[in-house]
Amino acid sequence: MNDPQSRDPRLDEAYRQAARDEPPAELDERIRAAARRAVAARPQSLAARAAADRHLSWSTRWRVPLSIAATVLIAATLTLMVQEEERRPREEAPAPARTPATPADQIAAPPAEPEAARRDAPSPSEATSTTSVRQAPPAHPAEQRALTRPYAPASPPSLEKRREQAVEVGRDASPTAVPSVVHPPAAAAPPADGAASLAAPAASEAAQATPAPAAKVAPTPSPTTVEAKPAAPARAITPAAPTPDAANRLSQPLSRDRELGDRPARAMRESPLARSPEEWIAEIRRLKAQGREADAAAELAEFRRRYPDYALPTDLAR
Amino acid sequence: MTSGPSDEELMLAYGAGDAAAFDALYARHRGAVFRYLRRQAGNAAIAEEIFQDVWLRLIDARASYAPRAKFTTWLFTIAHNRLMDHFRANARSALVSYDDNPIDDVAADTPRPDESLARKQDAGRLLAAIEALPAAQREAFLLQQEGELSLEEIAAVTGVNRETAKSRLRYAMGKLRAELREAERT
Repeated sequence: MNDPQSRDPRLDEAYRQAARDEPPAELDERIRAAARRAVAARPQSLAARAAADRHLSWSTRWRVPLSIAATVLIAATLTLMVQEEERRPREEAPAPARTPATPADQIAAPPAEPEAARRDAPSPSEATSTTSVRQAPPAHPAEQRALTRPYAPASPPSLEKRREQAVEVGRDASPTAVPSVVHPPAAAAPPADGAASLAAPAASEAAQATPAPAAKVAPTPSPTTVEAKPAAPARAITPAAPTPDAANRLSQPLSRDRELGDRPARAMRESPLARSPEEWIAEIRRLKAQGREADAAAELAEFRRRYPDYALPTDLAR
Repeated sequence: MTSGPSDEELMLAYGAGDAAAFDALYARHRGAVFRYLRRQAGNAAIAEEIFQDVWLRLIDARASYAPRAKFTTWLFTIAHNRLMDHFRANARSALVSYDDNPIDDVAADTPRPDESLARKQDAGRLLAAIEALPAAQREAFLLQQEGELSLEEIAAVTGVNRETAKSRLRYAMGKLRAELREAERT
């Protein structure tokens, strides 16, 4: 308590004797009353505080759940938006490079296609379509038939007949399907990817087997056949064996040509879009070189009608 | 010392809503605080005003009270601060004696205890001698006598170091002893 050295008992006693004043009783009562009021008022303040706590606790209670809900909502929205954004380019990208290719194109396009075959590509659009076509919608059934026709023969035709068929196929195909004829044959195409490897056996089976089930091969044409190039029709045809059905169909134009006196120009006129302008001009030159001026003139007229804006070579422009 | 609950326990009980605890606490310390204020303020009306204010502050602080120090130290600290506020607001000259001027100089400005005692020949000579002390010395003495505070506690209440408090107390007690001896002689 007190430092004994700083205390003087005589002084302490004298002070206690002298100092006896006290606060007035009324002051005591005022202070005690204030103390009781403060304690008595506390329950009321407690009630007010509890009400305030309830008010505060609402925000406190819901702060975390609301924050979590808002976070989840924002995250979900962002995820959906990102997915939508990712989906949109995939849907929009193929549109400009879209070519009337078959679904087989999507599977067939061998990434490791020989460079030489690529150089044979007749039009630049084909080169660009190799990758972009993968998601293109199926082509017209007629186009599919035209594309698959040479690759399911009933029996291996002779070399001469196959060349004729190749020419016929090249003429019969629509211009949109022209690129598909150029591709290397199924048997020759290396199975560069999984799709090609899946499709190639089917083609080789079709080529080796006698009466191959054309129905099986036709709906899913060999992927390597789809992007065949017209510049090398014979090469495209060689390994493939047409089905009997396809062979019958191929034989019809040939017999018609024979009836017309072996006039390939006639057949070409029937399907002029099967050739490129350069091929057509080469055909006209060939006719002229053979002395078939009338046929050449007819072909040239037809050519001008179909390609009015095409700049003819000087030897044909006259 | 008092028996029963300590001052801190009573204060905590009052803070918990026990009004009777305040009554017990008030009964223990009302006289000491009042006398401290009465001697320091020099005016009964001012002392009563400050006295009421001190206890009202204690009532307001009941909820936040924590026994970090002895209750009397806390109580007299409130009284000291309230007294300083009063001096600053109303009697700046009274603060002069609280400055760190040499105690002897301060004492020289005040009436000599023996002069005051010469005018009062009754038992109140001691109180007159206390009143004649410089404020800082008087406060140290009153805190020791009324608050039962140690040197460290006096220093804590008045905001000075222990040596200063000890010096103030020693000067005050020396003067008062001299007055006691003088009174006994006469």
